[in-house]
Amino acid sequence: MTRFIAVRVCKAILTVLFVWTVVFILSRVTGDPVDWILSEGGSEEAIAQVRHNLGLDFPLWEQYFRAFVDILTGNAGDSYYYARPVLDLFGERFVATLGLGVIVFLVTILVGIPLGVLAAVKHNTILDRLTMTFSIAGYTIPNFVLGILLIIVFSLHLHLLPSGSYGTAAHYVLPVIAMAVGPTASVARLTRSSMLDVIGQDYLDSARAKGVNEWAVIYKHALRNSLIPVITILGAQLSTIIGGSVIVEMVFAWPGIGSLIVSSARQRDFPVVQFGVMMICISITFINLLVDLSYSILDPRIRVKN
Amino acid sequence: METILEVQNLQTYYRTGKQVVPAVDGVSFTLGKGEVLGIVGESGSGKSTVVRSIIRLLDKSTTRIENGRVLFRGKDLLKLSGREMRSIRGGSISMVFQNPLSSLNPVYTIGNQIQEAILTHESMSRAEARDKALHLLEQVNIPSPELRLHDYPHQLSGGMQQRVLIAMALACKPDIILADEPTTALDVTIQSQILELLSKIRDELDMSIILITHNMGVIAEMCDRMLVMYGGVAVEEGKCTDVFANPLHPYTRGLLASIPSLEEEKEELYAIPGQVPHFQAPVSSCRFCSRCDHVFARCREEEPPFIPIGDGRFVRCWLYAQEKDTDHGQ
Amino acid sequence: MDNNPILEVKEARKYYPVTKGFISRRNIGTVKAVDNVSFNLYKGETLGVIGESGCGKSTLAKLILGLTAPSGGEIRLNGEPVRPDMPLSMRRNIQMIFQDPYSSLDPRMDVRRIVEEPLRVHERLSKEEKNRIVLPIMEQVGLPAGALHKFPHEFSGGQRQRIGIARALVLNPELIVCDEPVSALDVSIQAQVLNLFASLKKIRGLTYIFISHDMGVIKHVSDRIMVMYLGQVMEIASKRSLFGDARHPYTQALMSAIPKPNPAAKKSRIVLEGDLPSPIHAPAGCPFQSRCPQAMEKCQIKPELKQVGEGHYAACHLVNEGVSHDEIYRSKGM
Repeated sequence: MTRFIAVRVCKAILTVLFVWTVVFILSRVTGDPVDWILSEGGSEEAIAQVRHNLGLDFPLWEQYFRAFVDILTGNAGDSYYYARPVLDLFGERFVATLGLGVIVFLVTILVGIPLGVLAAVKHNTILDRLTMTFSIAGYTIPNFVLGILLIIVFSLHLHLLPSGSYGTAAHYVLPVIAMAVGPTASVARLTRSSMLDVIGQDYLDSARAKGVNEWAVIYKHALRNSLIPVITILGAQLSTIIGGSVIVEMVFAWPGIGSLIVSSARQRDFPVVQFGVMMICISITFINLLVDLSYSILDPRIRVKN
Repeated sequence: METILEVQNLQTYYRTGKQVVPAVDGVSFTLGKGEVLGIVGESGSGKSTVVRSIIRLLDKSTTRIENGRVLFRGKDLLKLSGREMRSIRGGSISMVFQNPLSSLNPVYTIGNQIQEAILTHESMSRAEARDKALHLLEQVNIPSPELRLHDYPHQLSGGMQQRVLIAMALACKPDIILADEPTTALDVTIQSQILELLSKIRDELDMSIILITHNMGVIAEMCDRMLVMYGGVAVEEGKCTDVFANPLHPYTRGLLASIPSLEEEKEELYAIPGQVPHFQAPVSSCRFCSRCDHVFARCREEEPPFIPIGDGRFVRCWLYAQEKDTDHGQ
Repeated sequence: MDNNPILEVKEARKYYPVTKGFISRRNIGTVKAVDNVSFNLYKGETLGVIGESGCGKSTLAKLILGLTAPSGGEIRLNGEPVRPDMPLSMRRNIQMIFQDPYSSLDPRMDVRRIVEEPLRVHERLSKEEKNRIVLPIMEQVGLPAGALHKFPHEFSGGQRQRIGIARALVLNPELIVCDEPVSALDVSIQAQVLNLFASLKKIRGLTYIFISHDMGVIKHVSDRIMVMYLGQVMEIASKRSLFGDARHPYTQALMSAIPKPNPAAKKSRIVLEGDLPSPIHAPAGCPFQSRCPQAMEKCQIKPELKQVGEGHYAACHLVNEGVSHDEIYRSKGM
């Protein structure tokens, strides 16, 4: 069991290192940040001075390790553009993104899974067909298109909800819907097909033959077995929520981390981009690790060998 | 012998799209206390559907019990409410299924699943249920039962899994056990262990058992009486010793003749020609007529009734109709 | 049957290592799926192989078909070694019939394509030439010519099995390995298919290795029978010898365990205690000792296959000392 965990932790660390390498290379490849900062040009000395201040005159491989260690220890340096500590920048926007992400994730679980279960239990009825039609529509439409449509309908025409920015509970409604529809649809669909597989299993009949009532058969016996593939997709959806928040944030002018990263990338603000992407990477890797470990809790066949 | 179960004219049909398949089309029989009744038939004979209809464990979206009565303790099981039926299932009538590994939930321990069988019908503390589960595992001869309680199904062998299923079936001391091909998926030497266990249970607990199988040898070994099914109806019924010594229905005879025997040498096996046709309700001929060596005109026109020959023997075959019944007025 | 064996299996072994470890896989055991099996097969005979789960009969089938290489010993067909890399010209001589008629036919190929496929792999024939081979075979297996353009799902289990048999015959092989070909069929269909095997054997002079767990079926089809347990041969004998005078305790238990369709027969049976042991933890010595009602101290040494009668050998310390099975093979210079 410990070996099981240790192996997965090692793999997680290697993944993070790999992403760091890619981030490092890609951000450097886009060009020299000094051009942005001294956009009017400057003397050679000024350029050299800026470079030195930003730590860009170290050899590349040294920059690679220093920056990595810095990020891990929380010393993310200062933004080139805002000239403020990176951590402060993220800190301000963190709550906005986290709040959105958590609510979207909860909606996905609390709406997606029961919907999938219902569709499976009422297989081939109108309810099933409707649910599945909605789910196909749901995960096909890109979240920012949906976002814009929602704004047009509910803000511009109906004047029911604000069209963007942040503040009250009402501000959350449209962004949450825009971001949650896709993952909810995927989860519902997968829960349904996983449940359908399980519903045909003999051990459910065994339980019925014992006199167990139908709800217990579905929720105690069937659901636990069908959750395994669903947990996988929940992990993937959480990753999507974290990363995909970027575009939705731009549509709704949501002061979150995603839009910060995008604008910083354009400005070649290395410290911000590096920290942002690494933070996302580490969270997603961590989530995947948790998903992996949860399998062994859910499925004793993985945990206990013959 | 006291009759504990009486099935009268059971009809269960499958409906898929436009097709109506008469899976069980008018089956009647009785089961006595402490008796082992064997139902033998090949695929499509309806034998599994019969027992599932008794316990009403059918896929409601495709299968419906159209007609019939199942009398148990003075009540018609087919008319009971869902809740009343649930208290019968696992309580007074239990079922053991064919494939032991897939009949156990892989994510719960053996102990948990046996306790569920107990606690669904009897209220007691978890600890008491655990003790009872331990006792049940001993009853079915599982070694080191205290350890097995914490095992998961995949950790046990096929034979042990089947014993666990039998333990679950015994949990609430049922009057009847319905065993659907309980040994078919097991190796021969394990099969004989399970059959011995079932015999022991029947003797010690005076249990009534309906045993479904396609294996004539198992019927001969275990059963007191037998019912031969074909195409959804019973074609022959009687005491095992009588039927094996003197099979009456051409299908029963064909079946016995086509089994490669361990005793005699047969150059060529008798093979019943053709295969089971697809039946559609209503059926208006003898179901076996397309494959029967003794077929004549009447067989194709009218389905024979279940004719009593005497001594608990019945045959569904025009060969055994009395002369005076042949004017179609009867 | 003439004196030259068409198949020689000498001390065949198939071991699968069981490893543990992520970076360096260390060996923690071996599954000895087939462990020192030797026999000869003569033209025109049917060798029945019987045993329960884990006895190695399916692995033996794979070895004989050259689907996997032996870990030790050798297998020769007409003198040439059988290995996964053997030439096509050899492959066409050994064909297989599978157990499950529902999964052994590609559901997307019509019957003609299924049956003709071996011809397409091994030869280049025109349509008429193919028909000249396929049509008589379809008749021999009892399928109408009209079946050729239909798909597997349109047929019953017994008919699908016939399609599988037709496919196996199309290259006119010498040897056919049948792995539980009737286990998934109803009794009445089983009889039809067994009769078909018998008639094909006569018409085409086939040699069969017939694997089954059903004693009755094995008795009906075989000339000689080999009883396996945990990858080893427990007893091998002609049908008459085995059923008349089974010497190995396992064979005796197996025969007594089979429920006979005769309610009047005496019910004194040998019921073995315990489960089939897992092939990873095969006991040293006789593999059957953990369940044998007559096990003794000596059984911790592996008994050799010793002769107990004409062509009848058993691996058990209880049988009389006779010439060892392997010695006979070695002495015949094979």
